[in-house]
Amino acid sequence: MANRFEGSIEWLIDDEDLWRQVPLGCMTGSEPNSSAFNPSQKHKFFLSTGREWLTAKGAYDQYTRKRPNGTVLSSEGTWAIRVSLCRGYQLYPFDDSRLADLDPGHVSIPFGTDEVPETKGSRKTKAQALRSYAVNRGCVYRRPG
Amino acid sequence: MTAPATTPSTDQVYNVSVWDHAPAPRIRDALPTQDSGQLSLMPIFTSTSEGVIHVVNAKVYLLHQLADGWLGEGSLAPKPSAIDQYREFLRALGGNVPLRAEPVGNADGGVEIEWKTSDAEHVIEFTGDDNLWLFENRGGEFEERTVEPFDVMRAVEFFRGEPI
Repeated sequence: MANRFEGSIEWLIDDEDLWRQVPLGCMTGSEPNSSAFNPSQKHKFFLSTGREWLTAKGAYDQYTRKRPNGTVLSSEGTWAIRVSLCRGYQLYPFDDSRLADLDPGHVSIPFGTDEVPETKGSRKTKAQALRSYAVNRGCVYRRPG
Repeated sequence: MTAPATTPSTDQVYNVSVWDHAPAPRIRDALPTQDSGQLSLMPIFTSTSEGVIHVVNAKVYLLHQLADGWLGEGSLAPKPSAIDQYREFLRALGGNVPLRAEPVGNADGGVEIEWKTSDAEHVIEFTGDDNLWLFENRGGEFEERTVEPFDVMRAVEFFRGEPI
């Protein structure tokens, strides 16, 4: 079987910001919980983010728009992490937006691979590190209203 | 016959449905009062501050409303059984619920609480299955434990500072 990502991904430079949307169900007070940065098992432990060129507001607008199937996702706003930060925790983001079902500027961050799976605790530790950076930097675009 | 509010039945003592009300516009309105006769619904929470009641109340209500996909592709809505485990934890705290017990959902359908101490970050995950996940991260060195079967008192002990 062909690799789904073969010829379809683009590696990113270290000093690029990545945008992460955080719904209210992941917030404690005005800050995201680390669960906002911990991907799901059903999504193969891929964390979805957006590229810097989208802008923090653009990433929010893209995420919260009405989708063709009618669903609307909610977000309290955009928080930023960095490619270099991810790499420091052995997380390697890549642009996979050329895949047909993904949004322009979509970046996936795999927490482990099939060959080298991460433990639950290891994933949580990395999610806490991303959360900590994002919180220290502050919300870069807050939901209007 | 109506039982006096000060002598709740056993069912009322353990009924925490008060936590699941929609958040009211004003905190005072969200709270049961002696006048409304609802205080007996939550006698064991009486030393919890109004603000904490309001926050936890609203958050549990929110978690109930989430649908699959709420946290992006593949994410699962909090399982009713995970919310029930969290409710059991609230009951087991026994009347003094601090704000750090505010719950959040996670992408796998669990409910978590996460808090920091001076030297560590701690997580309890109510998985909704017959277990509990405890986690402690001390500057990148972590320890984790799955407690199976589910044991609410183990969660309470960890929350109160017992070792993992």
